[in-house]
Amino acid sequence: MNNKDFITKLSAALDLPMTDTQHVADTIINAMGRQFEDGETVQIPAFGVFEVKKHKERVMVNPTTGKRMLIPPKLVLGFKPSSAVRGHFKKGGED
Amino acid sequence: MAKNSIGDLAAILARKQKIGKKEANDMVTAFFATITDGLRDDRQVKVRGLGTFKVTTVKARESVDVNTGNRVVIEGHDKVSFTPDATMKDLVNKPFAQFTTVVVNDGVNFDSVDAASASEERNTAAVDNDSEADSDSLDDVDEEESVDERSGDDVESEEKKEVPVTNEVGQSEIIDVTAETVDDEPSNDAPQAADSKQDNTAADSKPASDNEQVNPVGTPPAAVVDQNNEVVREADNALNHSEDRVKEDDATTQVLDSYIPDDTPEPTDTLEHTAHNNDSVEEKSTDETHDNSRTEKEDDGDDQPIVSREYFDEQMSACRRRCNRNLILSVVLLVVGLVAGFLAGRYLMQPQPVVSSKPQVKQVKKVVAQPDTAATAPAPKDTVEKKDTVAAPVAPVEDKKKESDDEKTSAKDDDVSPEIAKMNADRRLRFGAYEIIGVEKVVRLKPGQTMQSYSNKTLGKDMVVYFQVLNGVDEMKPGEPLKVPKIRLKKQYRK
Repeated sequence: MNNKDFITKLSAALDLPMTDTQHVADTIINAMGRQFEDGETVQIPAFGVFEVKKHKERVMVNPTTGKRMLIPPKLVLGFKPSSAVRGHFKKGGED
Repeated sequence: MAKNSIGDLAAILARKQKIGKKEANDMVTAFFATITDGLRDDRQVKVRGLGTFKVTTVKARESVDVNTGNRVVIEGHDKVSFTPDATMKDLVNKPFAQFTTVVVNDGVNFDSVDAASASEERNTAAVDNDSEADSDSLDDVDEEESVDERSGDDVESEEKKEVPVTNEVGQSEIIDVTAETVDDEPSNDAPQAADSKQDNTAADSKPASDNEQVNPVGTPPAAVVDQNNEVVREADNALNHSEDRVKEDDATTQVLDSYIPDDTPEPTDTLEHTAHNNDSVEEKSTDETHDNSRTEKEDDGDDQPIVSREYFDEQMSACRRRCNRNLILSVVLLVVGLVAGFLAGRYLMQPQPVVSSKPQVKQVKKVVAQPDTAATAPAPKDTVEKKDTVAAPVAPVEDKKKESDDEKTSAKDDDVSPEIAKMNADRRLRFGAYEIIGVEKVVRLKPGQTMQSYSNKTLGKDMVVYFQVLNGVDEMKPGEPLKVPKIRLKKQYRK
């Protein structure tokens, strides 16, 4: 399900035109992004937690060249599904 | 840190879209609900500007419980993963955006960071060595005593007439010196100290022989002095030899010990302890020799020479017989203990194999200890000298037996009885970190208690398999006798 499908579905759920729905989605995502910039977690009940984590710098060896590289530290956005969602898939997920 | 970020998001949305708060709230909820739905239907949802949610299936796999070695099946399940969109990734990483990956030059070394460790391991190793040296020195004491008895015997056979005092002195001296060497051995500066001590004692022994000469013994005095001196010298020589021999033996025993896996549950007595013991032994021996010389003098002074000789002979033979009996008894005891231990260990493995083999080991040890004292204690106490000839040939045999005994017991400690070994080979325990080495005790389960709950209480959770394997059943009702396993870490997990 790509972005288009997602927006279509969301528009149906919100009873809004597609463009407006896309706008709403962008607004929500921007708001989330701002919270991430502040280093705050975004907790969505019954969905999960978005969290910014810092990865430390590390040295890795390029397998092809054999050269050692220093990877700089970085901030990574992580997502942890809530137990409700997890249970949902554990039960209903086809396999 | 908003607890409910949905409210925050809704507030922002409401401001931007100029809609009611409640509406906005519904929108945000719908947004995430749609993602969940999409995940369920398509197993993947891409949201532009945020990222991709994906459901991945994790297959069931087998794993091993690190505590018990139980095979555990981790059930298959679905996992929701999230990969942030490139724009979102950059946005989040903005503070560190200026950093780039750098190639590290060859000369740079990061190893120094990891260097701090392993000193503790070394310490424990040192403790182990100590205990080993401890047992070594104990062995050495036995051996040296046997050796010096032998050397005393040599001297005696060379000089039959005037043996009593000189031999006594020589012997005590040897004991002295050997004790000294035993003392010094741990600190590795044995030879010099031993030599000096030897000289001293040699000097000491000369006056003793002079004293004897003054006493009215019916033999030519000057000759006696010479002979005595000679004997002393010979004794010294013999002592040197014996010491050399002892040292060689030490080396071999040490080598042997290092080959034997040192698993004897001997409480790690420190060197100090043995040092104390040796000191006490030394003191005792010196005291006793003093007593001996005194009694000797008294004997010489009081009795007529001829009468005393006859009396002596009689006493000697009687004592020899007594000693003989003692020694034979102790040897027989030792052999019986050995055989009993073997039989019990090998063939009488019934429900509680290790319970039977454990005290048995102790018993053997006790038996070993007994003849030791029997051989050493009466030696200096009795003033009669010839029983040495009797004692000497037997003692080394005993010692050898003792050594082999020690080896056997340590070996027995290491590899447990076949039945237990079979238990340890059980597939439930094969991958565990522990192995059963015996039965610690047998308890009766109280009402309301199960094997599981008892295990949880004592050995810990997940350790119930050890109970199950040892008792041969999976479940137990209250009131039934439960064997509690004695366990230890497997070799590869020990440090």
